[in-house]
Amino acid sequence: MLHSHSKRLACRAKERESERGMTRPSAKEIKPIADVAGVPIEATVAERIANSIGPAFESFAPIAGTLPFDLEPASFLLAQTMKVSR
Amino acid sequence: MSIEPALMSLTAVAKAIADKQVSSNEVTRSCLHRIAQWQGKLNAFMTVEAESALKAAAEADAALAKGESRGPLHGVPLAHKDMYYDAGQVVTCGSLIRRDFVAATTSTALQRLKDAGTIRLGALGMAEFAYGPTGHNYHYGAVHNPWKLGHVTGGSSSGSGSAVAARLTFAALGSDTGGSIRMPAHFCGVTGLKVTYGRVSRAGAMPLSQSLDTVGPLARSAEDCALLLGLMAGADGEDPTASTAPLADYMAATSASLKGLKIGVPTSFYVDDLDADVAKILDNTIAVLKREGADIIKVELPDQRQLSAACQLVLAVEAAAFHKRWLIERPQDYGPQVLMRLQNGLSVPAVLYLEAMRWRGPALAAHVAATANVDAVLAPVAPVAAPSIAESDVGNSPNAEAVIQRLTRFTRTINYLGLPALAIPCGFNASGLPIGMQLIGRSFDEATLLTIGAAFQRATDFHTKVPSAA
Repeated sequence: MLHSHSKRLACRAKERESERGMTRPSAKEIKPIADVAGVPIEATVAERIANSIGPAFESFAPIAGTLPFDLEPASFLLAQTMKVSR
Repeated sequence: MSIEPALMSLTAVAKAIADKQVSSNEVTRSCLHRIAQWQGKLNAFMTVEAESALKAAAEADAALAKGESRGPLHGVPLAHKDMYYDAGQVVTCGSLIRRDFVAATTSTALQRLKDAGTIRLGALGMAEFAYGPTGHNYHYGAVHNPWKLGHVTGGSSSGSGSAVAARLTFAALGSDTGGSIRMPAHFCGVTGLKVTYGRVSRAGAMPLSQSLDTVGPLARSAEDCALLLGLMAGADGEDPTASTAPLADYMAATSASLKGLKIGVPTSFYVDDLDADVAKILDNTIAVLKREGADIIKVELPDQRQLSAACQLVLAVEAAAFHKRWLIERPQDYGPQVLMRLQNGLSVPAVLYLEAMRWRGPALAAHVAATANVDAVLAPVAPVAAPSIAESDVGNSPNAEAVIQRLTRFTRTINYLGLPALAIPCGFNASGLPIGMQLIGRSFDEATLLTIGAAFQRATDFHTKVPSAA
């Protein structure tokens, strides 16, 4: 069940990826996030962070915003013990 | 005994001590002799505790003379990554911040090895707070690769990889959050086991990312890893994430045949952008496994870039959260590269982090479905052999993450999925640097990986090669 769910997610993600465009944060967006996190950073550091972690945001974009409401957050523990027949 | 004791495998030396063919004192002196030869070149040890090790060895020999054995590793000297709490000992975690930190407790994994009779030889170098894939350390200097000085060991278990390869310790604990056991194993030509998330207790091990951290050994063979896993694995009241799933007989698994086992080889991602030497050694490894009786089957895995990205987001946030207090109070006490990586986590919104965590179940289920027809997947650990320390000293460069991402792209996906993986030495490149492969298994099925690794090591001798100190 988890697998079929994952397939559906992948299809839906592909459709939505093009609709949403880039999700990579800019330095301007990162600075206030870090400030709110309680660890203020310089603008140059925000710029570097944007370059460093930006690709991870982009690669995760097809998944972000696609997870269904009722997906159990701890389903990883179930998947660890699931049996799949050959 | 004709062979230099330090050159024996863990299983062989433990048996030799138990059979009184060699004393713990002789074994410990042999390790200390090699450490004296190598340490100035490698910087593998944070501390060498010769006096206390010899005292403990004498006690072990005296006990054995009276017929008392503490366990299967009675009198065997070992050193571990300097992040395992050992009550009363300084545990630096490779950092300036914890340079004088004295642990009040002993980590479960370490205690279980002590209970089996091991002796403490010292502490091994590591990347600062285990947050670096190369082996550079701003505070204590880089650990060198014994196969070629001036080249990286891989990290973060840099001292563990270097010291096991140079035969300074029979085995060493490492930790693997994004590849930190498998990369040093690959770059240094030793065997490293990244266990299933939850298989070995993390209690008393320095945390980096609670969802990804795993404790495991680097050793000279799959058989040695099996011995150590059997001693360390299992539930632990001190770590609620330590699984109660049943344990296998890991040592028995190492003598099983490959016949009937199916090994998958990915059709993409893990075979892209490989150096020619790595690609050739992957083909040779496949040929050996086939010859030994395994069926090789192509497998198409789900999008690995998404898994890698999810892992990066989770790791960045959890590491930043662990370090937040010091990021506020002592940012100047971090090395620039580690500070940079920790700051990355400050930029990830909580909702995105939770999505990355919540996707873990479906992502693992998709992997399980894609690999349902195989017992394990074979893949390179890294697309290259060890780069030089100079060329990979990325400092505060804006390209730092690009360099790191290339090195870690084949390993961190496995941490996100929580799967076990065994890195084994599979050959050498034209420059004489080792190249390893990883066998990726099903959750809690380390035994099958050890079966395959041991069979491969019975058919080859890459794991027995020893670098020269000359």
